[in-house]
Amino acid sequence: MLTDVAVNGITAGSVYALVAVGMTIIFGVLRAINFAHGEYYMLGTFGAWWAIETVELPYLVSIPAAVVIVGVIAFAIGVLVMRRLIDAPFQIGVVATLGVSLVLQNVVILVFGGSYKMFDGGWIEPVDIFGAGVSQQRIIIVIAALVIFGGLELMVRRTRFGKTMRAVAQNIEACKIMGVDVPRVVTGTFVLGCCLAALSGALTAPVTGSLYGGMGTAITVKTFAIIVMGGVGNVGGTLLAAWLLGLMESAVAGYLGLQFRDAVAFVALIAVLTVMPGGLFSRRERF
Amino acid sequence: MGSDMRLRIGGFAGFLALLLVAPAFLGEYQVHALIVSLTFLLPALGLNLILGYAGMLSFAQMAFFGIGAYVSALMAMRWGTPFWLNFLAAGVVAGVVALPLGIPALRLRKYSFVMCTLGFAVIAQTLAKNWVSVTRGDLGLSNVPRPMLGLWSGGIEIRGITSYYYLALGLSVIAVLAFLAIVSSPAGRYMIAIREDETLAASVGAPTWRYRMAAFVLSGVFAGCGGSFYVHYYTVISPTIFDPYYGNTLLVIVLGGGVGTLGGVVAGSFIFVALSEVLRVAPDIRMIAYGLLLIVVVFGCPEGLLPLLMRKLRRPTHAT
Amino acid sequence: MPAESGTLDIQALRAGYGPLEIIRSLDLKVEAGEFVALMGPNGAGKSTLLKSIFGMATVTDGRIGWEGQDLRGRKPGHILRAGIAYVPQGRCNFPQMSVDENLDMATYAAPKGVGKAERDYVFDLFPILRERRRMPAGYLSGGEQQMLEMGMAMLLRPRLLLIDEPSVGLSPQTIQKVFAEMIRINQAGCTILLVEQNTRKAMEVASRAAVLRLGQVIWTGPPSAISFAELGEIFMTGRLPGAPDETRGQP
Ligand SMILES: Nc1ncnc2c1ncn2[C@@H]1O[C@H](COP(=O)(O)OP(=O)(O)OP(=O)(O)O)[C@@H](O)[C@H]1O
Ligand SMILES: [Mg+2]
Repeated sequence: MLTDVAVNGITAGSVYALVAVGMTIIFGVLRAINFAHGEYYMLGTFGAWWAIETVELPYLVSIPAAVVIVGVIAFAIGVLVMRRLIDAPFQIGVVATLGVSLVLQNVVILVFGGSYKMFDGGWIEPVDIFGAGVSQQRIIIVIAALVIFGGLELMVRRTRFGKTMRAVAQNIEACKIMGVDVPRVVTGTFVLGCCLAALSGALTAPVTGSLYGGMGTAITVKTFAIIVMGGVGNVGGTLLAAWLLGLMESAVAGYLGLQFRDAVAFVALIAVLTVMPGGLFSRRERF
Repeated sequence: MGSDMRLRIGGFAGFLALLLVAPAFLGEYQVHALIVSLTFLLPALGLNLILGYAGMLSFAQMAFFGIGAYVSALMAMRWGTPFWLNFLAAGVVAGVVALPLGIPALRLRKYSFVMCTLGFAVIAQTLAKNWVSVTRGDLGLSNVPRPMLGLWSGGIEIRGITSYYYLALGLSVIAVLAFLAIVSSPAGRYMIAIREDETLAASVGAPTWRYRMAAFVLSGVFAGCGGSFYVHYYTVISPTIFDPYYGNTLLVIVLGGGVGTLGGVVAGSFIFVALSEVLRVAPDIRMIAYGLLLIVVVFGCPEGLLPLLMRKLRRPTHAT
Repeated sequence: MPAESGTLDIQALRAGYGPLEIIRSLDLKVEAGEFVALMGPNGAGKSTLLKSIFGMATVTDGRIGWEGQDLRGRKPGHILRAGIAYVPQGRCNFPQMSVDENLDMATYAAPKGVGKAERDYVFDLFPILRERRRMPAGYLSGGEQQMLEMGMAMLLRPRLLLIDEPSVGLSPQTIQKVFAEMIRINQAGCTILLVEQNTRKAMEVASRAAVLRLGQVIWTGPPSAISFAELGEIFMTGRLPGAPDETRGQP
């Protein structure tokens, strides 16, 4: 039981982490809460499902296909909507991204129907770890999260684009003076963040096994709790907060009952913020 | 300024007169739509208070609304208490619940506050779903008694749609007057000062946090009262009331109508309810159209529809 | 073209923020190698003038001539590459990035490879920055941050430096240091347009003063041509004592 809880928790946490880190970098450059973020996770799952069912691609190929599809969608939304949020008041971002969320969710429902669909793909053979049977897919998810967080950390510290992202997050006015093309950085960061959410969706689908148009909302809402707990703009803190939430949820689901799982994030969030208003890992770092 | 004030009072009086005679010219369905608009008006006024005057964006409004609805329904069903008492109790309970949430949440940065209040709605929904012995879980409560207008027991039962409409209108007028009283009181002016410049307001000794708390609690009271009316009109309530959809609608009403203005929020309630009713003709694309509209409105007139309209109206008179 | 190198020629400029007009038909010519101190009361539009030159305000009319081309409507990136650098009023660095990374960002608009040799030039101008290379900019003192920002501007070897109130919040010794560096930069051939509230200090270092009031240059001339009392008078009333009406002194 304990091993199950731990394995489930870390897997779920890694899934959340991949979604949340996208949101946290987007928040960093744009100072806007992305209420549509879970929809890109949903689109990632749908993209992979569509590639498998309709184009008959193997699961392995469906993952990059999903990421590319979502990347294109995110680029369009980045140019049409997100760029306009630069220098816009906070509430504008909330309403605009809520609008985007409604559109994405309901277009998917319109195109594919509102019912649950079965996801057929992935590697679900169990592997024995410490006496517990863990599906290969779960191991892949955890490894993917670790690799991507490592890569992100490197990118943000070492590459020109990464440094520019941090610079925009820290002082957007100074960036304009240095001749930085801020709208381009914002769009790039947005596409990157959405692609990470899509990847997370495509990787998780074999574990959850089903998908439907409204699945993104719950993820969006949990992601909020994670990025605030992790200290907004803190990449490493996001991973830890996501794992922590995954573990707590899985413990609550295992010992108290599944129906309480979705409230855990916010009970924890409110508890954490009561004691530590800056989040668990509140280095003042942006990225 | 004086003519501006007269324009406003005139506008409100004219609008109220229109609403008073409206049922004589409208069908049952349109009157129902007006009642829905008035139902949203109360929580929207509350949101306007906390967002427009204290500068904090709250998603807890619909949670307070739902809490008020449950409280009012349960009181009427279990104890048979009269409507006025249920209505007040709904407001008071929602306000009291806001207090412990506000204590940690209002100290936070703006976006953390948003997420805390959103989380509160999720927690409230989980509670409504799982506290089966009281709320009957996902089934919800049905056959909630209709409002009884009487001192204690008996009195007039509100049944027909027209009587509901006038009850809603009466309550809304009271709420609007209460809102006006709040924002024109010294406390209201402090709230505006805090919104404009928090550091400055704090440096002249305005106890920022206390005023924010007052705004938050009052926003809960408005929403709770709204919930009470809602539940006695529809006579059913279930945990779906806590769904994000309703909270979003409120946000659209307040931001779309004109945050920080009274007229904007009143206009917003009618416009957006009317809009979502109109969109019902195309149920497949209703939500898509709604979403697109949100995006267009927020970029097209970020300060809200009414302030835009007022400016358009005022400009020619200025030029002459 | 070479003859005009380093020359800024602003004609009938109207600029502001959106519909709000701050600069009202302003003329100002800065010759190559000059050190012009721009002065005037708060809200006169000094910062706005620098922003409009640098493509960060709305320009509605007029011409911003720079080495023969018109900069009007250009973006900051283009203007940087054209040889102008800008140090704005207030903090303009990336507080959680190291001094080195801040200098990296400063070469963003430049072609690849620019900034290696220039970095040594900047470190020679401000040796303290070399010592603090790995420190986050936010940990530097106010004076050090000011030098970092000037260093960031100098990294692209501009021919015109726009600098807005560099002395705010600095101790007298640090101000001394910052002004000494500006003189060195100017002597190395860089034209400087400085906005400064510290009139006395500005008059000491500048080769020419220009007084801005209500969005127009109302007086310009060498610092020796005017006393502090007269300068104060122009600030307040907009005209020289004794002068009958609008005064537009020429050097
Ligand atoms: N971003 C802006 N948007 C709108 N108005 C602005 C903006 N920045 C400045 N202003 C206005 O433009 C006018 C001129 O401002 P500016 O900063 O150019 O003055 P200044 O001469 O630099 O004054 P100071 O000596 O105080 O720095 C002021 O009235 C100011 O309120
Ligand atoms: Mg200035």
